[in-house]
Amino acid sequence: MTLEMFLITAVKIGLVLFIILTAVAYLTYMERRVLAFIQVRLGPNRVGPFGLLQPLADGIKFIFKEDVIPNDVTRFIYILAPITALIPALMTFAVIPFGDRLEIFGKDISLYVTGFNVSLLFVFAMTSLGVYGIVLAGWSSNSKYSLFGGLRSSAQMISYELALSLSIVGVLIQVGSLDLVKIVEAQSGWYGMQWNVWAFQPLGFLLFFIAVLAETNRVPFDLPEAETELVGGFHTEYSSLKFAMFFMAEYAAMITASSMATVLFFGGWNGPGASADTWWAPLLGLLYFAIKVFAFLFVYIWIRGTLPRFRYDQLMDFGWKLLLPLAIFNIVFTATWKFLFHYYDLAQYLPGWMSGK
Amino acid sequence: MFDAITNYFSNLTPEHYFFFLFAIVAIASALEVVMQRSPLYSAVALIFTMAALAANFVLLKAQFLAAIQIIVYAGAIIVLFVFVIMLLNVRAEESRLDRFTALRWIAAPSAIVLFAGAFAAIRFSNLDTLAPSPTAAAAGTTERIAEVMFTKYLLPFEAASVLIMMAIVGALVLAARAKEYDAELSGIENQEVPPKPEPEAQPEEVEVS
Amino acid sequence: MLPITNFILLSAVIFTIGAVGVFFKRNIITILLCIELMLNAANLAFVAFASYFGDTTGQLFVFIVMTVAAAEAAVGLGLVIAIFRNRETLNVDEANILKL
Repeated sequence: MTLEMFLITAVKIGLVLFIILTAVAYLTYMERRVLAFIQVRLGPNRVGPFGLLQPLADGIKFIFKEDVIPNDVTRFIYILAPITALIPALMTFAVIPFGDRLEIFGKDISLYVTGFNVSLLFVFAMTSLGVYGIVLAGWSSNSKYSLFGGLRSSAQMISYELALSLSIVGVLIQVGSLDLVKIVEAQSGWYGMQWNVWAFQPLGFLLFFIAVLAETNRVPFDLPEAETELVGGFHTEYSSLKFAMFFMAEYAAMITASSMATVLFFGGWNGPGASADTWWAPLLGLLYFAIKVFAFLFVYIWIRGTLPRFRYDQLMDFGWKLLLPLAIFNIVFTATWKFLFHYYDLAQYLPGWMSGK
Repeated sequence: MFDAITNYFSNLTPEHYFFFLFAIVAIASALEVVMQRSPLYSAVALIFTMAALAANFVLLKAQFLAAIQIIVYAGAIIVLFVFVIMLLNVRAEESRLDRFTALRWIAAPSAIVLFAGAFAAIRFSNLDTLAPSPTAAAAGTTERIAEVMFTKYLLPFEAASVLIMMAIVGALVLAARAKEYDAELSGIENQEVPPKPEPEAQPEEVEVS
Repeated sequence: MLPITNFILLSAVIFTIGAVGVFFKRNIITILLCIELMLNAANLAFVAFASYFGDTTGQLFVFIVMTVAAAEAAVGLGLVIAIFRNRETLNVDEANILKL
């Protein structure tokens, strides 16, 4: 590893962190605005033009608020919990392929921090660690509401992680790689429109999206922090910067989930013209990626503004009795499809566009 | 003597540093698992051990297993432990190494003998001469593991899935009587519907499929 | 590259720590955690040998060990809940009604 490589990587890490944290801040603004419009209100519009400086004001408020540590908490874990929530949420961005390779000053630079042959598993490993922040916060707060929030959340996350992992197996069978970059590259056919969601994983995508809603504790699966029942759920006892860390972790997880949906099912940076042989094609790819992620985030907020919350038993029934069997069906279906095409070469009997050649 | 030390340090590669870093983390957190009084602290310490061991797997060029180690152990098994600790709300402290029985006088020497035996076996073997295999990187890829698993070792794999099936049934049987208890603890006892099928047996399916 | 003895020694140390935990701890949950520790130490040895021999079989062993560990955790914790419900204790020395 030369010094130059090291510097490039350091710059990339800094840039990605900066962009993600800014995106997290503005995601809160977007959520409040969009929700407000859905409910025929205006939302925050006082700080700066259209309220655009609101995230900044919120950040300053969080930093200067008094940091209350209640007497009866288990102190070490109470402080550890927000950190364990935030760090894995940010670490996932190390492997998400935002764009293709770009040539700057004669150097071939990839528009992602790093990539290796099991990067998809890395993302899953990090998201599965995210549950600890919530669970430890719920336990260490020594408060009923927090404990129930943490309990519900761990049960929910264990249940839905299963459906989540199984829903992407279809994509893996189709692409034959655990490398996120290769998964994106495999979707570049049809002038950049051969996305897995219609070729041929619509069911997989639906399951993935529902499971991811539950994994990120969003409406309609936001039981761990259901305000009307549990005050604030696992973060009832947190204030100031520690609360802000939970908040950021949640929104970073939303961005991760949207990015993963984009990468796995919506072609990543692929789109019309993004694989052309011009210097701006990778930048166009970046733009496509950003638009897709933004669209998913909007759908998240839209769902929050529209749907009521599940009851606890409904949530469990839905996960175990509907999502899981459907995900297994999807795997069997995809495997059969792949087997037929792979071994009997059925593609020759079909028109070219259907086989994805 | 001094020369030997400087010589030793000048021969160190980044791999050595990473190995020692993660080895220290692994041993320290493993000690914490045993020394902590509260089971929750032990579980948290065990997560660190798992992570350090996963890092060692990466040093050994087994990336797939490293990822699986984090997903299965840290992401599923320890979560299960933490879940049960929370469910039973175990806060009772016990003293550090507290089995004050006659057993201690048998256990301590046997632990020492166990380690001494392992150490002697390693020390007097010729493992040091074992050169790293050039095919190590190829052996650790997902493709290679899948190939071996679904051809040569298909029977053990199927046996493992039968084992998991039995574990699911066993956990369900054990937990089926727990309905009222669970309802009370998940804080929704005032609802008429009995809650939740048992979530406990399931996460391991992730790695089987 | 490192000599394989480093990894094997680390494995031995962690295994011994886990064994000490099983010998000395009373809390049944901690004992289960220590068993996980021992399984992990064995895993490290398997991976080290697999890597140094360039053979995938050792890695497959690890896979099977993880499956067993998961099954053990599920059933073991189910038993823990059952014991706690009946005896209101997690102390293994007090779960002795089958003793003569």
